[in-house]
Formats: sequence, C-alpha cells, structure tokens
Amino acid sequence: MNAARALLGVHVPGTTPWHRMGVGTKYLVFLALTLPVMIVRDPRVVTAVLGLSLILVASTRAPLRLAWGLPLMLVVLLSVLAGYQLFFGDPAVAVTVVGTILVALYAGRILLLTTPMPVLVDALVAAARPFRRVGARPERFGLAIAVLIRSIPYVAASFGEVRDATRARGLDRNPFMAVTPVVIQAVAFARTTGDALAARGLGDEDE
Amino acid sequence: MIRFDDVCVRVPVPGPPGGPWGSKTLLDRITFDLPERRVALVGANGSGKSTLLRLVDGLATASSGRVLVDGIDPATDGKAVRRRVGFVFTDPLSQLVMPTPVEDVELSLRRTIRDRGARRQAALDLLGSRGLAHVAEQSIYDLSGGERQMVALATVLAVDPAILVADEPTTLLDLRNRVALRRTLAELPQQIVIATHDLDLASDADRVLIVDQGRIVADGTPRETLARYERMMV
Repeated sequence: MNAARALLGVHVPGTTPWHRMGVGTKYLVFLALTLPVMIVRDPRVVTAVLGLSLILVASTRAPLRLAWGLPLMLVVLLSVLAGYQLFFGDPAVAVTVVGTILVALYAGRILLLTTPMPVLVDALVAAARPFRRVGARPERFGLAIAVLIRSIPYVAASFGEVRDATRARGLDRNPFMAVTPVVIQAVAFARTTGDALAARGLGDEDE
Repeated sequence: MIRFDDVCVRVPVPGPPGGPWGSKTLLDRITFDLPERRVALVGANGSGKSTLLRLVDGLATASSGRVLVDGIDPATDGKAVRRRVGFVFTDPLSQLVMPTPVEDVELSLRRTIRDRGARRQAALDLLGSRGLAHVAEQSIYDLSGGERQMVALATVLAVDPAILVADEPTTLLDLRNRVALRRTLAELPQQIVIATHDLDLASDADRVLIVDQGRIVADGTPRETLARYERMMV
C-alpha cells in the first residue's frame, strides 16, 4: 500500500484499547487533539500535541509506515508552506501551520486505523439523525464522508497518471500542467460515483 | 418487463459562437418491450446504448415518451425502480465506495440488515458464495480488474434485484476474466440487459438489438443480428 492510499489511514484490525474503544470516544479524542492547536495557535502547544499524536497513533500497533508515513505530495506541500512562512513571515507561524495540519492528520488516523468504515458510517449517521428535523439527511451525510475518504487515493493516483502522461510527452517541466486534467478527472469520478450510489439506491432512506 | 414507448432523449449543445444553443438527439423514438430473460444491446461508441440503459434505472430521463419497468416509471418513482434494478458500471472502481469488498457489500445491505454483526456475516457469506472470500478484506486497490468487477457485481446482487443492467461490464477485463464474468452472468436467475462490444457475451442473449445514432436499427436473434452488426461495422 502506498502512502497516498494511506493518507488518512485504512482500517488495520487489532486488539488494542483503541480497537475496543467506542467510536464516539475516538471522535472525542480527535477533537481533544485538534481543537486546542487550532484555538491556541502556539508553536510550543502545537509541537507538544504533535508529539502526543505521534505516540498515540503508534499505540494503535498499525505498521509505522501506515501510522506515521506521509505521501510525497504532502511532504512537498508542507515544505512549501513552511518555506514560505520561514522566508516571508515568522518561523513560529511555520511551525504552527504545518504542525496543526499534521496533528489533524494523525488524530484522524487514530480513528481511521482502528475503526472499520461501516462502523464510522453508522456512527456518523447516528450522530446526524437528530438533525433530520431541520432537513439533514443522515444516510447521505455518512455516505458523503465515506466517499470523501475513498476519493483521496483516487485523486492521488490520478495525479500520478497525469504526471506520467505529461512526462511521456516531454511536458513535465511545469507541475501545474497536471492540475487541470486532474480536476477534470476528479469531477468525472464524482459524477460516476454519484450515479453508482444512486443506482444502488444508497441514501434513498433519507427521502 | 421493461417497456419503452416512443422515447426520445435530447441534450442541449452549444450553437455557433454568440448564437442560441441547439440540441442533440441521443435517442430517437425508441419503442420496444423486453420480456426476454437475456437481452444485449450492441452498437458503436456514442450510439446511445448507455443512455438507453440509464433510462431503465432512472439515471437519465426521457425528453419525451415513457419508460416503464414492471409498470413503474423510473422518472417518477426512481426509488421503487432502483429496488428492482441493479446496475453494473463499466469501471468497478467508480462503483465501489468502501475500502474493502466486504465493507462494500455491507453498504449494499444497510437497508435490509440493521444489525452490524449480522450484516457483516451476510456480506462475507455472499462473497464466499461468489468465490470471492479470499479477497473479502483486501483493499479494492489491490484487486485485479476481474476481481473488482466480480465484487461490483456481488455488491449489486446483494440486494437481490429482479433485473440486472450492465453497461459494458467486460470492457476492462482480460480474456480469462471475461469468460468468468460471462459464466457468472449466464447462471444468474435475474433478467439481464447488457450493453456490450463483446460479441461473445452478446451471443449468449435471447435477443440482440443494434443501436445506431440513437435508433434501434435491428432487433432479433443473436445469430442474425450479430451477423448484421459485423457487416455494419467492418
């Protein structure tokens, strides 16, 4: 499995306390890790919480390449973000911005590495059910999150394919040339996936 | 039974620069009843086969005329039709939503089995009955094209549809997987309507229709219709 596929983590069966914990509690852990760094925005707090997140995600006993690994694209993106802040702004901001993204990523992985997708969808649907009276569609909400998670590796793979195609035509000097075809492919994927979900009658329970 | 009654599908297309939009006819006055158990649609790319199939499941709507599936109009009661009709797409990757086959089959069963444990067991049993137990918990990205298509078929069959519609299901498959899928489809009890370029698959049908530029230009037994199709194409 490549790192792009594992960006948000795939379920790794196990018997750790994380695997036995209720999904609601894991959502609370996610919030407990991510909210402070987003609210306080202090580089010391972000560094401490990032360290804690790395320890917690390792305690899921998932292989470390799945628990800690980052896809190259994300490393490049974070490097650009950090470099920009270091060059034009403040090193503290660089640590805060990049650290906050990583905390959110690793906190999300704790949830996703230890929870099967159907359980996640059930939990999201249950959480959204009280909002049905104000027009929410819980089944569709749960499905949308599942599709979102599922789409990330598709888009990453699509980016790789387009990059290879541009290389094959000797057009690889500008990486931004890949953006438009990737966006078009992503839209086409979204439409086909939407059709497939509709054809399977998924989400019809909300009507 | 599937019934098309004078069905037309038109889509807007840009006109000349600065001018008004025009329209393109994708299907033109299609009328037929399909009582046969196995029906194949053949035709060139862009001939209207996929549009015709999408009308059956309510994924496309007719500009005029009427489609009925067991007496139900997909345009007005798509939900009821989708409970009767299963749709297999060309690319299984766009059809499979969950990370693993067993989770995707579980997704199909959400409506019918509420208990999570029972749902998982039913999903595992179903994959086992289709010879897919060995891939049940693998990532869908780690499956071969043939395995993915068989899993996509299993997710659709999980809800036991009365009618199975398949849009070029063998296009992305190698010969071995094509033969395997063909055998599987031949054993299914459902009414099956397939759009395909695979003439071997089409030859298994009880009835073959040739779609050309939005019209049905031939309709008959596989032997005579496919011979005519080959003359048209070559």
